[in-house]
Amino acid sequence: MKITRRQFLQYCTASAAALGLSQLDLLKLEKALAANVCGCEDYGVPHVIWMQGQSCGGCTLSILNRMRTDYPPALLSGPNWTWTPTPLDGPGGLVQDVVDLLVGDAVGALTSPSPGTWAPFPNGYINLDYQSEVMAAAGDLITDHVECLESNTPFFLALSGAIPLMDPHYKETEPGTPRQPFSVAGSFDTGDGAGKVERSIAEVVEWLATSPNCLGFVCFGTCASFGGIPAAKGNWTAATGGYNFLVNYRGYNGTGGKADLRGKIINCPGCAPHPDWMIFPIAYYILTSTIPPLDDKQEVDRVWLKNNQVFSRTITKNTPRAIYTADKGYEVFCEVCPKFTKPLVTDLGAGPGNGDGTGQKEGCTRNQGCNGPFASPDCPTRRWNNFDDHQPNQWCVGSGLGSATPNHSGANYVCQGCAEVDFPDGRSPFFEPDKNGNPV
Amino acid sequence: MASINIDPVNRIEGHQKWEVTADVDGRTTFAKVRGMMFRGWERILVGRDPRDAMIICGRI
Repeated sequence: MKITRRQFLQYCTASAAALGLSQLDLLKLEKALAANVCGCEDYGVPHVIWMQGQSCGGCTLSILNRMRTDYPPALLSGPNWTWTPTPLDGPGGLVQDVVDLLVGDAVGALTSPSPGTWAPFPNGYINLDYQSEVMAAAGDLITDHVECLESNTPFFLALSGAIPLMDPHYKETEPGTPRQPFSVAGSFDTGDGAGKVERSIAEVVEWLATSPNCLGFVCFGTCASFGGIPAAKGNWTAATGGYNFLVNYRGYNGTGGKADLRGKIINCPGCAPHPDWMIFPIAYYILTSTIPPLDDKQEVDRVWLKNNQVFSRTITKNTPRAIYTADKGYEVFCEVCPKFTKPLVTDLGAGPGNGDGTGQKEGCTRNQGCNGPFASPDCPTRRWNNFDDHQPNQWCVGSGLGSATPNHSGANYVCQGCAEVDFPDGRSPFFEPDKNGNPV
Repeated sequence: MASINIDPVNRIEGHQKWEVTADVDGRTTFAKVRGMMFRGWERILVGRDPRDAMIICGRI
């Protein structure tokens, strides 16, 4: 298939990851092209602009675990899910847009008739317009495209990495507008008259999130959600998360004539977050055209995978997880952690944390600082590195030892509590319990 | 004199800006690669339990 140079450049800017894939079939993608937006063919699907603040790249790497360029038919069915062919498939080939399966497999969990099955959602793909770590275009090519999108078409804004607020070595140029050179997003024209000049990530996030075309603002990772490690004690950059920046620092809470962005901001914490947690909000929006229900921390009301059942539960912060209560039963994390449920030998006997009702068993590392009892995500059941077969694989705590169930292997580590609001300061020191014998 | 500013640079982790200026003969007269992000890991680690460095530094 021949394409002109102009078309090549258009493809570069049309989708962040499209040309990064060697096996992407551009000819088949052309069939999916609809309206022409910003001089680039528009796939007719939601645009997602993913900005990076003070990020480490872990969120991108995590979501890349969900991206595949080739799906041999043998991998398309598993114990829990089956592939449904789509009209876009040709004989002997499949449309492998980079985010096709990215969205499809997670959406299947929300829509399939029986809980726990993962049916790919054939038309549930997005156009990842801007993602600086994977996109094929650089510089003005892509900043022009973002400016065009912002004014012309609805888009989702995503952020990974924290937003730095202050530079203590610079004086404020005028009150309320401190210089923010600690993370420059690029040279964008945000419409304030200054043209294409260097813009801090704070300016760009504010510009895009307050745009009337912004459908929602997803904060990937603990850094973008709650500040995370760049916001830890001792940092020089006054880093903070997206919600705190927009709603508290900039005042977008409906007062003072400013828009109310509180219902539009979704937090997906985790360091790094599991790709499923990141995909759910966008997949939910594709299905329902609404933001998913959020809990008090602006996180998606958790969707848990346990025993092939998909259910949701709101988890309150600091609920001890190793204790049985009649109304709730066991909370999920320790309940399904093999170090707690399937001890290597037996209960260790009387003593703080050992068989006196607090539930520690041999192999359980609560006294070594495991944050499992205070952790809210579903790592013990969903686990990580799920790849193509969507089977749970490793996770931080898994040791593979003394466990009757397969795939409870992993790093044999303590839970760091990396998806919690107070990571890392509230979880540090990571390898010490607090003075009551509880994990810190 | 022609200048090219590539901001942001793509397919990297972090933020970078490249500025190049060349004269009419095509000779480069000015070239700068600028790192556009700072977080300050050394400052964050001060005063913590040393074992925390394993956890925190993994996120550089």
